[in-house]
Amino acid sequence: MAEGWPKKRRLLGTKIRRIDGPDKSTGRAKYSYDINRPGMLHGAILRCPHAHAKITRLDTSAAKKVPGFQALAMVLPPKDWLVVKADEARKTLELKSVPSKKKTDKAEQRTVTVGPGVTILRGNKPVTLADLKADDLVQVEVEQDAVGRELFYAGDEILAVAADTEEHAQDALRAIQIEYQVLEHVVDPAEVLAKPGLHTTPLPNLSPGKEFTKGDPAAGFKAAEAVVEATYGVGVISHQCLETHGLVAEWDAEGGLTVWASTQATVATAAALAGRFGVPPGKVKCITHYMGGGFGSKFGPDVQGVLAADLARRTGQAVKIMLDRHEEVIAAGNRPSAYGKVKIGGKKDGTITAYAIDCYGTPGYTGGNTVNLNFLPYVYQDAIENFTRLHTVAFTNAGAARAMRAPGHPQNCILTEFAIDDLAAKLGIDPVIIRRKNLPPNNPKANKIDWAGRRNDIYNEQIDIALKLSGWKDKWHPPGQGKAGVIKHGIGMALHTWGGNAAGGTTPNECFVVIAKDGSVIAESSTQDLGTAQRTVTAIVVAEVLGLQPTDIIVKIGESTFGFSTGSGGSTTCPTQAPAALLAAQQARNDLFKKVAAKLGADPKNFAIDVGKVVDTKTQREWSWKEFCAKLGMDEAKGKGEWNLAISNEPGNENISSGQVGGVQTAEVLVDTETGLIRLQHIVAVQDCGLVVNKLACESQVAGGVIMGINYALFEENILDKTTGRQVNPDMEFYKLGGLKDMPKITVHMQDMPERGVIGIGEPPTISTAAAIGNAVFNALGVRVPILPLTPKRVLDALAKGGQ
Amino acid sequence: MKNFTYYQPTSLSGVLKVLDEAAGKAEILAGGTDLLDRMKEYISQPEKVVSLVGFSGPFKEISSIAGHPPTVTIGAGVKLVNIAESELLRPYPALTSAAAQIAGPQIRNMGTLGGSLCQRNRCWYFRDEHVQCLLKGGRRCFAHDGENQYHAIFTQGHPCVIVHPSTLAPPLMVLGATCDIRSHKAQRQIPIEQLFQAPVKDGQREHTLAPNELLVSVTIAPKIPPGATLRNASYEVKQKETSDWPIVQASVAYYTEAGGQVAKGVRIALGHVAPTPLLSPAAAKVLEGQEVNEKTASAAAEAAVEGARPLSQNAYKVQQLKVAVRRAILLASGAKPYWEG
Amino acid sequence: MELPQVGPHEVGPHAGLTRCIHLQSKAMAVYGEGFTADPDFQNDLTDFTCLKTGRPLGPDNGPANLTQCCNAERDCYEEY
Repeated sequence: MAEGWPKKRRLLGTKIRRIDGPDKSTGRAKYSYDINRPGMLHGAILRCPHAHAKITRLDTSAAKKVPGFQALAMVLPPKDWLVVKADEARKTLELKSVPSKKKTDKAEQRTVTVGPGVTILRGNKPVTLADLKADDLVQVEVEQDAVGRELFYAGDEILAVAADTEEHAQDALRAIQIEYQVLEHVVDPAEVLAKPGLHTTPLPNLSPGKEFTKGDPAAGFKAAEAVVEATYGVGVISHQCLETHGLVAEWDAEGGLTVWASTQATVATAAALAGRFGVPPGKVKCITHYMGGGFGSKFGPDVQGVLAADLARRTGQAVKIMLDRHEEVIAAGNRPSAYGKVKIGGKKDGTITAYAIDCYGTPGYTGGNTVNLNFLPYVYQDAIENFTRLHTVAFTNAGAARAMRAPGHPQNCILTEFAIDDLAAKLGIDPVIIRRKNLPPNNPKANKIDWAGRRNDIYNEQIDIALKLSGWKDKWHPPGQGKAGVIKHGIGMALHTWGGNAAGGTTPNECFVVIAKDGSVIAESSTQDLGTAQRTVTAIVVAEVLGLQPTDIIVKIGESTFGFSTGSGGSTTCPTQAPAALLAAQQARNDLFKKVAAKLGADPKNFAIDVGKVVDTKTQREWSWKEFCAKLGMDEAKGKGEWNLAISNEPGNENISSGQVGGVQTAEVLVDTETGLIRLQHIVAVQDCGLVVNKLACESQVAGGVIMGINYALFEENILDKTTGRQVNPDMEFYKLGGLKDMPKITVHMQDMPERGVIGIGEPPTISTAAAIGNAVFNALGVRVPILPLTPKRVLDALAKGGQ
Repeated sequence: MKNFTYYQPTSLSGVLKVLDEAAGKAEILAGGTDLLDRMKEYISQPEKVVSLVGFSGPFKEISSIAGHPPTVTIGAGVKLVNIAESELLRPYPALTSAAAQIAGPQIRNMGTLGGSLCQRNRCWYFRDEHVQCLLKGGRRCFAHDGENQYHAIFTQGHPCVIVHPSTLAPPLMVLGATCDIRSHKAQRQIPIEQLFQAPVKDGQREHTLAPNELLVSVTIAPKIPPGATLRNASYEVKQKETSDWPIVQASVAYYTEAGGQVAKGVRIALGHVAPTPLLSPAAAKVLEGQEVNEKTASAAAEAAVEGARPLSQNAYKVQQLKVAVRRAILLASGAKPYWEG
Repeated sequence: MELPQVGPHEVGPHAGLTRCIHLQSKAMAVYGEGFTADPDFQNDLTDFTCLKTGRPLGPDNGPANLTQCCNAERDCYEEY
């Protein structure tokens, strides 16, 4: 049984500044984007300019004459072959397929005429015909094989080049002669619904709807005292990571690969590259010391990382490919849209008698599952007796979606919470009454300290806090009935929920702590700090156990070789890494006590840590930390911590980490009814997260989530042109992101519940902000602006319609 | 990026000589906030780039604000931040407030007056390397039937429906500014309205300067009788308060005589609503000789949007423009802003 | 090669056992072989990548997902 979190918290739960803050603010911290290796080349990717096309001609010869050109690699990987015969005189290479275990495998043969546009690789090195003998395992890339390839969006990758400078690489791309057969495209999901037979994407554009019904919605609507029908929605947005996707790849003389990658998963990225290039995983190292944001979009090398490593193996030089802003927006993932026809019925006492939604959205050209809305109706699902939902995926010729901070939740939240306020207006009641009435009940069978066992109580307490901090009682008024004047004031609320398995997967996350005889302490893990302050979290936990300060701990993270860690997704990093660090530090401390006790002839059980010192509780003798550690002599003290779901479920471990949180947010807005502009006044975010490790970082996470919510509520949207199929705003100019002046006062209230252990909160705080803002605008105007972002155009359009 | 020859002459006359010899193949580099973007994005690939900044700093002919109000001359190389903060320009809040709100501090610290007036448009089709629009030798304007929420609402007779991007042009127009334009062998002055044109094809710019000409300075000289008080203001509708383009902009200037409240010499200009910044004589006429109040300001605003022909997605800009004109007029009069809650 | 035209929602029943070795997803990067415990995965919110291409399409330019990458007849399929 684990010792658990210290009963008395000295550092935990307090506000502690990031230990790497000075490094980041002075530029000493090197991000992957900052890495430049000796002799490094720059890669650039050729992308399809059309939304849907086939390659009809490809001639790369002019590109290869551009000054500084070094190598070219195709996106579709070369196949493995066995050499039958390499004929130098005829310049031909006879190949046969590699036998596999597949039952259906047919032996294939191919003869390739070797010349420009053909590359032969053996063991990740380019070779010539003269180097080859029969039965050599080779990869043969024939550039002309790309002719006929179908491309599915404006931005689809075709090939990459490497050159000595970025400019030369760009010039080489533009020297490539390529022609396309332009095919029919569609970028608007509504058009997909209107034309069911479309097939412009890898799978047919329209994916059959998935339906789910609970109870008897028809009866529920019949029992309602008011029913509202409306359409709500939110467009596609991009992750807009400040550090774009990409990496620097460098092969060593022993055939090993090192990459400096901007990734949320050092271990998975290294493993992916090892698999791709047939290298033992132990020979691939992924380094991510600092990272400029991922938000769910950076879990592997991606095509640009694979291409950089491919170009590096061909040239024998390091190659860097970091996407530019345009590429980042169109090709590095996005959040699917969701538009829903909603019908909601309820009673004056707040009961929602039925909820029905028919919705659709687009995840781009493939990867459709990301758009699913299984949480509908959101938050209140367990209390609402009758509901039905139908969801349709509409593939479009646009970049593919990826997980984005709380996948699915923000869309679900909007499609539920908007309807609640509209229903409240029709019933003539404060929407808080509906929220309270339909909160999910406590599960009597669940553990009382867990979310499920007390979620109703937590939500009610959170609503109380939010009402108080926002001044709701004095500020709320029936929709559209605030003070007269062109500037209308409004206040709105929304709820969110998050999480399940927060303690990671099958292989436990590891953390190692080593105490040296000089008293220095190293904490090491391959885990990565996405900007969430994970480095500081590890330092705080270890320092708490050892009676030191966080800045005393040397935290080495962000290298895939530092023990196992899982990707930073699903808000799992803190709830896996903090326990691993806790166990490692406790074990290292025990090891220290044991080794020093032997030297002093003392009983290790009598040693206790105090701040900066160790005390023998029997003799009352004290040593400073350094004095005590010096007694290690030539030894060192070590500990290893491991944590995952299975370990967290072991008896006695239930207070160390857990999952599932709720949150309540309110927004207060001013709307200029003449210009359609919305100015935010105040956001209140109430959030539970179990045991707070670092209150400052926790509050920063929540504020960051709120800011992200504000941005997709008011500003952000991928705008695609129907004629060209191209995104018109792949930038930060017309893809709008708020600045400091656009941000309101943000009040964060953390509910510290140490008995629940550590829970990750990277995702939850961004979920309900936009729905709260949308509801505040409705409260101000008395008119629903149904689609996010709430642009001035949409506000004015809604006002014009509402006035009729 | 195409290789180019970089010129850094040591004098203004050196610049003019290079421009004369370049015969249209040169781009002028001042703050670089527009040109570098265009070059990196393969929108412009000039053979020659001529810097307006000498080794010892910007040439003095283009880098100072000088004169005595009401007449003040601003060099084309003056940075936006220095216009916003100029003591000499204090009587012209229409101009200084507009300069203070352009983009963000980084842009204002680099961008110049000349750059603001002579920059290329921000149309997202024009700025896309892979779209061949009218201004890049193509046959059609994609904005006409495409994504046009930020495009022109005064579209009549314009095959290309960009909006002119200068936020300094409308205030300078209402302040009666003239441009000093020089070439290797000549010099001319034109009213600032004549600096702009609506481009319709490849090779045409949003300004009327010949390829060998340089805008050297702009002189503000509002015509007001002795003893009269100049009143002026600009109002912009911007979605974001940080680093955003105005959706619409209105500038207004007029004078009142001692003891009088009646607006005279009214000039009203509209920005970001047409391929050129627009003077609105119709709106000015409605306000001329009237006492300024919400009613007269609204009447002028109605006149300002008369004849607007919005595109499929930007009718909302007509409403916003009306509001901007009304609010600019009221701001100029010193009335308490009714729109500040 | 003709790929079966299956919608993205249909997840193979023994997906974990028969999938191609090069199939990857966020849930797998986070939970390893325990990826089916991922709440996103359970709610069909996971998008897949082919490790051979680094893209959501495989080496044959067909979709990478749990249905299509359990198809042993696909040219690029490699048994786990």
